[in-house]
Amino acid sequence: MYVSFYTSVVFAERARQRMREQRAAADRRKRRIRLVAFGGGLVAFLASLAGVLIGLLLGSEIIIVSIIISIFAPAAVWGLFSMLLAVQPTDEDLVRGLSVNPVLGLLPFGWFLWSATGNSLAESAVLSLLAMTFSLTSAALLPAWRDAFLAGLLPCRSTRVGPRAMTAPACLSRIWLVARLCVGMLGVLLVSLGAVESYWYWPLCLSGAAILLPAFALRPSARRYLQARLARLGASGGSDDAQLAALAALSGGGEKALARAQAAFRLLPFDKLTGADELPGGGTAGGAGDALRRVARAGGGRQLGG
Amino acid sequence: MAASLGAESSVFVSHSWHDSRQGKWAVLKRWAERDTAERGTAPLLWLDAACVAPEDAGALELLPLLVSGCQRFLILAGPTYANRRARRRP
Repeated sequence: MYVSFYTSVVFAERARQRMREQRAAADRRKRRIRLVAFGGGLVAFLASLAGVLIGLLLGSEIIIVSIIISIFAPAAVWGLFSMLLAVQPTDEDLVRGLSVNPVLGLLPFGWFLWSATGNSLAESAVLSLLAMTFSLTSAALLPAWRDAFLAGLLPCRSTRVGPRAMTAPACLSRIWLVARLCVGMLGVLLVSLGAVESYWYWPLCLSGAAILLPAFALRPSARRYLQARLARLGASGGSDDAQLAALAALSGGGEKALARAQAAFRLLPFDKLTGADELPGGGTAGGAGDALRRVARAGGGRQLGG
Repeated sequence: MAASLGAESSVFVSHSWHDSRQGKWAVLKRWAERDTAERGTAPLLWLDAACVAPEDAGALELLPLLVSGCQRFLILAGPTYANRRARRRP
């Protein structure tokens, strides 16, 4: 009896250990996928932004600016959305950081664009509007500073007096709203620029469309769906065997229960059934149960592979 | 016949013993014929009356494993399927 008890404990512990390992492996896969989505998006965003800035600094010709913007601007936007999709509402520190720190970069970028306004009407208007967009975006994000202060995430201590801090999911929703508005404005500006610069009509219009598409498509419901799909990637428990082992461990029996289930598992080919009388009904199995079991046992004796 | 957990074409049949045999048979036959036509092979059923021997009634404790060992789950939902009172043994 003691040997049996000891064996069942060992099997249960082994199944639990296996579950822990599977869960850790799934967590590692999920972290890796999120890191790729977030890091890749961040790199694409920053590199494209740098490309736009360099293009603006180097290109005195509107043609060069148009080419650079039509290539790098969509890349930056898609990188930004890829990065944001990897951010979950539960990542409070990251959400607070994303809602606070971009202001430090957006305002100087807006001022830089303002100072870079040229002489031509189109160039001047576009850059001025972009500068205004970035400034307004910063203004929309500024309340996050107060929320971060209230949440106690800034160096200064939070206070219990006064309004409550916006929750991290609400903060993330605001970041998405601001990002979509900002990107939508950028897309409209590019399309407008394409309308003014008729020679570069198609590149600028296509670029504007590539920017407007995610801004319109990534509504809150679509964002939640994509985030859930991204979070589920790599979260599966592995093979069928591993899932069965996990289920057996949850049943409290571990590998012993799995072995018993495997031994007791029978299947009956449908074509061995001949009529309604063989099925249970009226609260009783009747005499058909024995016949069915005989068929099930003697049904060829071959093992069916999984 | 003995089979491995997760066998191809395996179907766990869930039904009420208090529903009529004829009704369940008609539905099961229609479904199985359509399934056979689609997949080219007859489905392998896990049917409690056939696949659990009386001397092995303890196997019912392993029902979650047996359910997860089947690829599909078929419900023959008759009038008493969702009625606990009707399914209670006298």
